[in-house]
Amino acid sequence: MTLPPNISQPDFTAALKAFAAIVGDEWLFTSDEDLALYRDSYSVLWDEAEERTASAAIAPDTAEQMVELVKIANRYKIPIYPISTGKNLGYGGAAPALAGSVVLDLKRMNRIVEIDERQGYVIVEPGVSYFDLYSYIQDKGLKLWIDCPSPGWGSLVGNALDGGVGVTLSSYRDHFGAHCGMEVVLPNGRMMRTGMGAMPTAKTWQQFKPGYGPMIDGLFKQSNYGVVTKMGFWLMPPPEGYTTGTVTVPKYHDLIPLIDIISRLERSKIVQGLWMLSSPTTGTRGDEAHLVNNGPPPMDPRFAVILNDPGGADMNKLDAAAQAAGVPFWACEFHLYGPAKFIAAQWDCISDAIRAIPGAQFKLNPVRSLPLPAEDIAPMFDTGQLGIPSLRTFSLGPMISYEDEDVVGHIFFSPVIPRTGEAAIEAMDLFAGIARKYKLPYPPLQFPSSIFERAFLFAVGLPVTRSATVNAKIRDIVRELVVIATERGWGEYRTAPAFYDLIMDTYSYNDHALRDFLDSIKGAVDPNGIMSPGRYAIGTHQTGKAGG
Amino acid sequence: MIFVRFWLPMTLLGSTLAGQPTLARETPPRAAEPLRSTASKIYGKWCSDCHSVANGPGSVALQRKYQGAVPAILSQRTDLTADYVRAVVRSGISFMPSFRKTEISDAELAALADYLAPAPGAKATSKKAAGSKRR
Ligand SMILES: Cc1cc2nc3c(=O)[nH]c(=O)nc-3n(C[C@H](O)[C@H](O)[C@H](O)COP(=O)(O)OP(=O)(O)OC[C@H]3O[C@@H](n4cnc5c(N)ncnc54)[C@H](O)[C@@H]3O)c2cc1C
Repeated sequence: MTLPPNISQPDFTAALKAFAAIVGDEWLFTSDEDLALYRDSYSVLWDEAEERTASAAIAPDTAEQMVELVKIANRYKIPIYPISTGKNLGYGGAAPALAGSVVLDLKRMNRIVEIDERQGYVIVEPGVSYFDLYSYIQDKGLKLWIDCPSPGWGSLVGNALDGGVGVTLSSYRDHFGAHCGMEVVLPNGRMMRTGMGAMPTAKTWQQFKPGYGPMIDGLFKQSNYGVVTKMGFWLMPPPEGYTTGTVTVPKYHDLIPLIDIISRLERSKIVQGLWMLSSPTTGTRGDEAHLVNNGPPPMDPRFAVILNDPGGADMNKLDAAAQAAGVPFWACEFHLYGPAKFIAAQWDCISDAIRAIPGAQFKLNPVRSLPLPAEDIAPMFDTGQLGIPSLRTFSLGPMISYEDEDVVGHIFFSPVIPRTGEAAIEAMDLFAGIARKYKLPYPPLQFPSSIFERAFLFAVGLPVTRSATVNAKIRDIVRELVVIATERGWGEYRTAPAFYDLIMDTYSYNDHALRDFLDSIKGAVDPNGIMSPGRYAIGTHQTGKAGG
Repeated sequence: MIFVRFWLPMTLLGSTLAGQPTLARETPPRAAEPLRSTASKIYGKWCSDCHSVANGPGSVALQRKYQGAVPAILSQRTDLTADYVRAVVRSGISFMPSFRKTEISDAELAALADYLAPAPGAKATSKKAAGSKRR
């Protein structure tokens, strides 16, 4: 049996016995076979000495049990690592950040504690997945929409705590931003509620985020200061109608004014849904292009030869070729929600503004009343834009093998770049160059995502295999990417545990003042360093004097 | 009704999609048919989104792998063995990750394996219908 670091066998055995007394023997997992289920299926360290594996796993049923478990962990100084649904694939899965930690698997805590249609919120336990909540709302016929990340099996709590994002209206897409109040078991075993929830008689826990005094909810995002046992989320009323509209602009450098205009419309709340950039010269990337049976439209051979030039795709050549062929360089697909007349007005405003770009063309699809019939939903590539969770994102096309090894998943390199055409062009060039250099299985051009309201996310999924050699190469590529992104001032918003330290080091302003502050908090709230040690590299440095 | 407020745990509401512990806490069904319907619910919750329609990621992957030699839709396959189903669910394969016992318990997995790979003579009656549960 693996032991947690610096823990003796007798202490570990005693702690496990105490844990089991709280949850029942059935919910304590210690065999190798069971612990294999807590490995990260997408680990880029698979079977290597540094792979982070659990020493045991415990699955409590209630927050009260959690309090007792944390107290025991504190008494024996056992490192624990809570997961909600543990489906953080691409960013760590169900595996702990520190090898030898005991995973607290909260999947059994799957209650919808409170749901309020009138005020539009839900309070959930950690084990509630987007699928669970969606089915619940459907079964009850509630007039509520959820916003989910592309894979529907994750949890509201785990996704929000990891800084995850969805795909509907911008104010709901930022999942941590759309939460309102939480219940947390602190590393000393004390239970706390944030915001208005700290007032036992409060009637507005789920309506007023700031609460009284400092707003501390943010401390629990991408950190290791406690176990969240309940969390509230603002839900959206189902829109009356939905449609998509596409704008095309002819020239490569039209991207610069295009993004400026859209960003202004977005900051004015005229553009509210997600918009997706694609290029008709490379085969459009909109949802339609992903339909598995149709696939993206085949690339025009005149463009393919330029894009696949081993020396690098010359965008000026592509620009000229596209213009000669009369094919617009950029397309931008908007998702629009609301009553038909509101969608029409939004589209008018969007068209009026973008018309400033010569040659811009506009196509608005018919506005459909919601909900759409099932037969219309069935062939869609992604249903997230309609508030319907799915797993369709896993049919990500081209990543089947890399360096002759089967690809079993991917890790994300996820830098945040400015929302300007200049930055988008620079990033596209740079990442296409890296993809070419390492023959990564990508289309020749990738696009930034507009998922955040004021910055671009440029997530690049790097293939993970079961070959240590190939995985080592991938880790080197990530390191190279981090260096070149940092030089340009592009920080990652989230990362897999293998890179926590690497990324934290890039946030080094004034001799790591931020990291030292986080470490100081860690030392104060978790002097034994038991809570998710190593997560997001908090508490593993000298200055904070934190344990773990 | 425009105002709904629930304080009930999901486990008391009998939602078919409540988490696995719900099922684990119930008395295990004895007769074959209830077992099949439990299995079809488990299949509907955990497998169908990828494996029940031609454009599901699991179907796409199996089509790519077997090039039509076996059906790409899992519930149409007749070549699966229960051991194989159990091994794949617990170990994962390709992009499909492993599933923990808090998600699919051993008892549920046994029912699921039997459902996808019925013993000879006990062919499933309703497998094909099971996929559409989720929406
Ligand atoms: C193909 C693909 C597409 C993806 N698309 C998206 C996407 O669109 N948007 C997106 O956001 N992500 C996406 N992801 C990443 C990831 O799969 C999701 O974010 C997923 O929802 C995270 O899993 P989870 O909700 O089960 O979190 P968990 O694994 O439960 O939690 C994540 C981490 O948060 C911490 N944590 C969890 N619960 C608690 C708690 N109660 N208390 C304290 N700490 C806790 C733990 O450290 C845990 O490891 C994608 C991944 C893949 C492979």
